[in-house]
Amino acid sequence: MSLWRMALKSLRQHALSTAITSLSIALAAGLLMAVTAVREQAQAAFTHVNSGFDAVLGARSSKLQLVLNAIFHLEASPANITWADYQEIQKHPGVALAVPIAMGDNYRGYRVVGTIPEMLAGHEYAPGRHYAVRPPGRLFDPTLREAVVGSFAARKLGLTYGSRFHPYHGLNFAEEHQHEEEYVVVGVLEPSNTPADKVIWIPLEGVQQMGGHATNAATEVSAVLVRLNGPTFGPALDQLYNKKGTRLTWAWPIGATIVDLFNRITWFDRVLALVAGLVAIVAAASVTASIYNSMNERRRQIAILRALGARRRTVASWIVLEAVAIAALGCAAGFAVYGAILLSTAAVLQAQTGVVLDPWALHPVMGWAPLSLIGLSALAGLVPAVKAYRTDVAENLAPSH
Amino acid sequence: MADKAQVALSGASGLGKTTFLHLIAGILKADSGVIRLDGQEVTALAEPERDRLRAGTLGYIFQTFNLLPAFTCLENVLLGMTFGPGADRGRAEALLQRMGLGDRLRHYPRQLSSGQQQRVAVARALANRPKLVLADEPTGNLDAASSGEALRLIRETCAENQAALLLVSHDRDVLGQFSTVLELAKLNRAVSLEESSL
Repeated sequence: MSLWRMALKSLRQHALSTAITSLSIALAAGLLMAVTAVREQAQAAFTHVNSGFDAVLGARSSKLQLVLNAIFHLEASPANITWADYQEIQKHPGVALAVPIAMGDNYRGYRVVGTIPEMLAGHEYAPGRHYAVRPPGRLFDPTLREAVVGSFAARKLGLTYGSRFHPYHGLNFAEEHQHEEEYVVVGVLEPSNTPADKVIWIPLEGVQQMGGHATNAATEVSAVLVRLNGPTFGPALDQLYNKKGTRLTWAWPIGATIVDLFNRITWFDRVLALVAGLVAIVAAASVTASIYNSMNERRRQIAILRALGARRRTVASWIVLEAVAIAALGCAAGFAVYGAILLSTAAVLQAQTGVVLDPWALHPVMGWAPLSLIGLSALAGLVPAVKAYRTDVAENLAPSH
Repeated sequence: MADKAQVALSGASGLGKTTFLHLIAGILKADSGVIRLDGQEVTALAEPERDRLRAGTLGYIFQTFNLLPAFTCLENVLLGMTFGPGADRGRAEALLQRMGLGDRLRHYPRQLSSGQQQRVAVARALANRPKLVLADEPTGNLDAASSGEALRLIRETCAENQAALLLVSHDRDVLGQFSTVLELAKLNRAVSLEESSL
C-alpha cells in the first residue's frame, strides 16, 4: 500500500478537520490566483482598449481624466472645447481621423454620447475589427433623432430596434431631469468587448442642441478622439498643446496613460497580495495545527507501523504527504474560489467599464500559486512529521499510552 | 530456536516478556549481548537495518491486536506487506480466507469481534512469509472460546507458512499446549552468563 493511499485514508478518518483545513487553503489559493490574474488581465485589457485611437484632445485637465472620460466613459468630463479646436486638429497633417464626442446626458444611467457616424463606421476599434450593427439596424442619420445602442446597454435597458426613449440630463440618472426630445433606436451594436458596448450613441448635434443645454454647447464638444498618421506626430502635438498651449490637454498615447493609472494603484495590489499572502500563511498554520492535534491518537498508529517495519523516515513522510494532500485538495477547491471571484469581477468590470475579462484564460499564477501553497503546506507538515519521527515505538504500542 | 520451532515463553507480569520480544524484533536496542535472527546479528544493526529486518523476517502478534482502525481487514494485512517485500493482494486475501474471514475482507476492525480482529492480526503477521512470528500474549484479550480458536490458528498457520513461533504468555492453559516452554526468569539468568543465540 502506497504512502499516498495511507495519507488519504487518514485524511478520510479526520474528515471534518481535513475539510476545514482544505477550505482555508482553498480560500488562500483562490485569492492569490484571483488577485494576480485580475490585476494582470485588467491591466492588459485596459491598456489595449483605445477604441482604435491614439490620443484624446480635451480641455486642460489630467491626461488620465481625459482618457477615462472619452475612451472608457468613466469620470466626469473636464470642460468642453470649441468647435474651432476640433477643426484645427482635424486639419492637422498628422491626423488621420478626428472624431468629436459630446457628453452630458444619460438614459437610466447609461451615457448618451453624441458623435459623428465615422465613430462607428469605417473605423477599426481594434486591429481588423469594425463595429457592426445587428440586422435589421443601421447607423443613425446625423440629422435625425436616432440612436445606435451598445450591446451591453441595450441588453440592460431592454432597448431593441425601434425602441423609443427620452434622454435624461447629466451623466448620472435623475428621474426629474428628463429631456423632451424623443429618440428612436435604429441599431444595436454587436458586442465589441470595449467601452462602446455600454454607450448609447446619437448624432453630435443631438447633444449639442438638446433642450436645456447651455447655449454655447451648440458650438462645443467634450473631447476629440484622434487617430494619427504615424507615431512621430504624437510628440509634435504634445509640444503644441501641452507645452506651448495652456487651454487644452493632449493625452497621448492612450495605453501609456492607463499604465500610469495602474502604476498609481500598485499600493492597492500590494495590499491585496499581502492579504492573500497572510491568508496563505494562516492556512498553512492551520495544516500544522490540524495534523499536530491528531498526533496523540496517531502515536499508537505510528508505533504499529514502525513495529510492522516502517522506518522513522517513512512515518515522517506519511505525515508530510498528508499535509501535501490537504493542500492539494484545497488548491483544487481553490480553482472554484478563483472562478467565482473572476466571474463576479468580470461581471462588475464589464458593467462599469465595458471591458471584458476572460475568467477561463490560463495564467501562470494558476501553476505557481497552488505549487507554492503545496510547498508551504509540506513545510507546515514538517512540525508534526518531526514528532512522528521521534515517536517511541515500545512506549506507544500498548493502548494505555 | 530451530526453524519452524514453536516455543512458549512464560513469566509473571512485569518480568520483561514484552521487552524481550522488542529486543528480538529490534524495536529496542539491547544494552549488551547478542541477538541473532536469520543469520543476522540484530544487536549489531543500525535502526534502519533493524526496521528492514523486522519488515522482512518477522511477524508480530500483539495482545491488543493493534489493527489500524481506518483500514479494512484486507488493507491491514496489505499494510503488513508494505514495508517488506511489497503488497501481494492475492496472498493477503488467501490468508484472510484461511483465517475464516473471507467474507470480512472489506470490514473495518470496529465491525469485527475481538476473536476476528486477532485473526486479522495473525494474517498480517504472516503476510510477509516471516521466518519467526512473535506473539505477545495473543489470547490475553480473548474469551476462552476465541482464545482456543486463536491459538489453534496461530500454531497451524505458522506451521503451514514455515514460520517459527515464539509465544509469550502467563496463561497455563496456553502454555500447556506447547512442548517447549521456557521460563523467562531462568532464561534471563542464562543469558547473563553466556551469549545466547536465536
